[in-house]
Amino acid sequence: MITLFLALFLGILIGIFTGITPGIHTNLVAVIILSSLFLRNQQPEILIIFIVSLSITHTFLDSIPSIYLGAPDSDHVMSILPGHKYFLEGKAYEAFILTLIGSLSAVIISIIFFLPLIYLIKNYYLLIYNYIPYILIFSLLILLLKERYKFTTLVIIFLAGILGISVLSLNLNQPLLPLFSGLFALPSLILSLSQKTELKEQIITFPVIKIKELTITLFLGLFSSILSGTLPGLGPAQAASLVDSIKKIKQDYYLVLTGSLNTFIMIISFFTLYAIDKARNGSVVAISELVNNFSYSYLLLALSVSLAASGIAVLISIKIAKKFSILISKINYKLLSIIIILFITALTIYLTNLIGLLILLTAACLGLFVNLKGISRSNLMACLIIPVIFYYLL
Amino acid sequence: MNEKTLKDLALISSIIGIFLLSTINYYQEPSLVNISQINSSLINKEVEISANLYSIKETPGLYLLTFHDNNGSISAIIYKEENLTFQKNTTYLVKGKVIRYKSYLEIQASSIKK
Repeated sequence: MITLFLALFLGILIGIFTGITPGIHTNLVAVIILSSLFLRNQQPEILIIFIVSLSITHTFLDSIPSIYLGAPDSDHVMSILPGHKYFLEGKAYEAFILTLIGSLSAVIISIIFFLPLIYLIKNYYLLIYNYIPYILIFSLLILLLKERYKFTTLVIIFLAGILGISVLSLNLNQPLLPLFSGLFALPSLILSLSQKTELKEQIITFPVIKIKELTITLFLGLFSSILSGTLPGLGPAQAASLVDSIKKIKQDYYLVLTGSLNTFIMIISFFTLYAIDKARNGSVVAISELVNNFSYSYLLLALSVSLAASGIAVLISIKIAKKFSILISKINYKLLSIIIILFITALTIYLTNLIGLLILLTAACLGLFVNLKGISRSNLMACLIIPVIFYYLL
Repeated sequence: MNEKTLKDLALISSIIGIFLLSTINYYQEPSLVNISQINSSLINKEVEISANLYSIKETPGLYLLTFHDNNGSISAIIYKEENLTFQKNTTYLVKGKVIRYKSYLEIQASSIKK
C-alpha cells in the first residue's frame, strides 16, 4: 500500500517538474519511462499509478510556461496568445486559475460520465473508422481556412506532412522525440532568447466565472476531446481550433477550454485504450507497452488516481503560481532556456543518434519559420495528420 | 466561484480519489505480470502469469512446475488437493502468491488453468 502512495506522490512531483519546465512534453517523459529498465520491472498497478499521476499533474501545470514565459508545448500552442496577454497585463495568476478550473472540471466530468463516454467511444469509433482520413482532411482544411496567409500555410502543411512521412519511415526507436521537440519546443525556446520583454508587476486576482458559460465551454471541450482522443493526429491545439470555429469563445473561457482539453484528452485516452485498445499519446503508449492487458479494474485505478492527483495538483499549483507571479522577474529565463535546449539536444542524440539530431534541426527550422511568419503552430501537426491520412487511404 | 471553493473542490477530489485508490487496490484481482516483473517487492502478493510449461516434477504432496515466458522463467508449486494433469509446452494461466524458497522466488499457485 505504501508503494502505491509513493508512486502517486512521485508521479505528482515529476509531473509538476515536467509541467512547469518549458519544452518538456509528457511524450518525452514517456520515452524516458519506456527506456528505464527499473520501471519496466515494476508491478503494473505501480506503473499505472505513476504514469497516470505524472500525466494528469502535467496537464494541470503545463500552461505555466505558456502563460508566464510564452513558451508553450505542442498541446498549448493555441493558448499562448490569450495566456501570455494576461501575463503582459500583470494578470498571469488569473489566467492560470482559468486553465486550472478547466482541468479540474475536466477530471470531474470525465469521471461522472465515464460509462456513457466509454460506450460512445466503443460505438462511435466503429462508426467513423472508415471516414477517419476524410475527417482528418476536413480538420486540416478548417485549420487552413482560419489562416491569413493561406498559400504559405498550405506549403507549411505540405512540408510538415513530408517531414512526418520521412521521419516515420526511418525506423527510428523514438521518431516523435526529435520531430515534436524540433517543431514545437525548440523554436519557442530559441525565439525567447532573442526577446526583450518588459515584465509588468503581477497581481493576484481571482477570475469571475459564470456557471452557464463555464458549462457550455466544458461540454464543447468534451465534445472536441472525444474527436481528438479517438482520431489519430488530432491534438488539443487542433481541438481548440475546431471548437473555436464552431462557436466563438470569449478570451477568459478560451483559457478554461484549453486547460480542460488537455486534461479531457488525457483521460479520454485511458478510455480509448480500454475500449478500443488504441494508444493516443505517449503516456498511454507507455502504459500499453508496460502493462499486458489494460483491464476494467486498471481503468478504475487510473480514474481514481486521476481524481487524487488532480486535487493535489490544484492545491500545489495554486501555491506555485503565486510564487511564480512573485519570482518571475527574478528568474534568469534565458539561462533556463539554454539549459533546456541543451538537454533536449543531448537526449535526442542519446536516444536517436545523429539522424535524430538532423530531424531535430530540420524540424526546428520549419518551426522557427512558422513562428516568425505568425502562422498558427497547430498546422505543424500535419506532420502526423498527413502520414495518418496516407496510412488509411493507401 | 472563488479561490476557497476551488481549493475545497480540490481537497474533496483528492480525498475521494485516495479513498477509491485504496479500495480498488484492496479488491483488485491479481495482476497479470511478466515473469521478469516478479521481484522481492511482490513477496506475499497475488500475481497472475501467462506462461509456457517447461518442466514437471511430482512429489507425493505437490507438483513442482517450471514456467517460461518471453522474459524469463520461474518455478511454481501447487498442492495435490484435486486431480491435476499438466502438459509440457502448453500455455497456462498461473494465479498465486509470490514466495521465497531458499534464495529463489517462486509462485505458490492457487490455480493453474489453460
